[in-house]
Amino acid sequence: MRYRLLHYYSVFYQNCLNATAKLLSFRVNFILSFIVEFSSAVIAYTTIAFIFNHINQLGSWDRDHFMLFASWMQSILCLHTTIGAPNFWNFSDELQNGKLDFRLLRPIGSLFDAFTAIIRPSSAVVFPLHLAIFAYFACQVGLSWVSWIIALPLLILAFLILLLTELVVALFMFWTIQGDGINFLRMQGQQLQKWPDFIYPTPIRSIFTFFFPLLIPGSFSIMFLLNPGEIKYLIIMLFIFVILILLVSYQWKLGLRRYESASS
Amino acid sequence: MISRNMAYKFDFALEILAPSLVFVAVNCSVWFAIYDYNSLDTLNGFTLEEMLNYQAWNLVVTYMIRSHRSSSLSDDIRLGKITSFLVYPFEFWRYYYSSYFGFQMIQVIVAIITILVLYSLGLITNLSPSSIINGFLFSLSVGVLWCTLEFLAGTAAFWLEETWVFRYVLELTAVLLSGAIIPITFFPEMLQKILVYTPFPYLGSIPIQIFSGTYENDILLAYFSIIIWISIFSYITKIVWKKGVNLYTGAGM
Repeated sequence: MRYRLLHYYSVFYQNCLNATAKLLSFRVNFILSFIVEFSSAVIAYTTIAFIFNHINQLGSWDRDHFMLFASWMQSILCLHTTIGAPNFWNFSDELQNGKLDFRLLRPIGSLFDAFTAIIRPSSAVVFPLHLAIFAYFACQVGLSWVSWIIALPLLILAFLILLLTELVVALFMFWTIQGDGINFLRMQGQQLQKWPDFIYPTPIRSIFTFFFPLLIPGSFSIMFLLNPGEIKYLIIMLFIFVILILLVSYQWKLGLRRYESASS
Repeated sequence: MISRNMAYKFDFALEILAPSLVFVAVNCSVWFAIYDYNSLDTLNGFTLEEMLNYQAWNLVVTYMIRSHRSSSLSDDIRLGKITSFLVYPFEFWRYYYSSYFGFQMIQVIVAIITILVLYSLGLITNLSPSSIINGFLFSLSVGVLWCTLEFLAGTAAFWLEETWVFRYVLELTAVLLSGAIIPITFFPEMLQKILVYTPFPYLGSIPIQIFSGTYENDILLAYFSIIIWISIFSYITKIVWKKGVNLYTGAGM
């Protein structure tokens, strides 16, 4: 098991090195990607700032809580854009042109290989900015020391749940002719996640919490950070994480059975 | 162009329907929560009904104006597909704009269906025929401006490998500054004053007001402004295109 984990880690590490080398070769692309990430961040924060210029509270949260949530969600999405997002588009292409065959032949888990092959380090450049904003607003709302300690592992867990929920959607590409529509659908989930769950009416909140857990990564993790005593949030996240792993593994096997290579 | 876009029907439906459903779910939920939690009757001059009405028209305007054509332009340039167009007896921009209008025909139908659905849901309350006709005509004119801006963004492919960045930044900026997320009247006053001198309000706020019948200024002046903006950006695009074609090496020839 230890050897296997090390093997996967070394592949992932090598992918990171390759991506960084590529990034340094195309500096203009790096700068442009930075502009995109920075613009996205500015829009996310200014939207909340503009709204809170006209109101003081939304539910039990004030501007600081919302900014804390926004910075937390932006951090998760930043990890996702760096590691996850490019692979979903690549997977769609590889399914269509038959390049997925090569991944199936490699001596490594094909699901892991297909969804960690492309890494976009340029997107990670704004990660420290989101963390700094998170730290500032965490001080403003008076986050406890326990929350500070669990913040990083919780961020990784939230990111993994987000990635797995998107994988559940993305793997339906095996059953469609083109993958662009599925990718559009997948991306729309992120729009829902950019707001805390309590702003949604009960039916929408229930569907996207219990039926398809899109609201879990952002809302449940921030609720747990704000109230570390409420252990139920962590238990639900861990439970959903395990369920999603099982679901994705099963879906991947089913999908591969359905897959007809375009190149063979 | 219509048949090409409709070839993958499931894909097409997802690309069109998914953003709309999520848009309605998110925007309506956010504004409903803002009014409900704070027990507000009006916010910055908007009642809840007016705000939902604004967001509903916003969706229609998005269909009518902000469609995406430049991704294919940048691919055409990068992969050398424009080579054939350079020897055809018509200019490339004619093909580009006609394919844009082909796609817009589908968008008009989708927008009409959307209006009917939103009206039946009570999100659109005022359906005046003159406002609807004015709104469609004005949105189609603004669509030409958007198409020109996307064309300009797509020409970056003459110099760069990846041009999605320009399209994305253009889209992000337009979404925020056109009042698509929150009405422009919610912006700080200084920013509102600056935006008057930019094309951004024409990409969202003004067509929404025309559709909803709340536009108070002279509509002819708005058309005149759009023509001016289209002329300016067309001229810039023409210069950039010429410079790009001079640099262009036809891959695959």
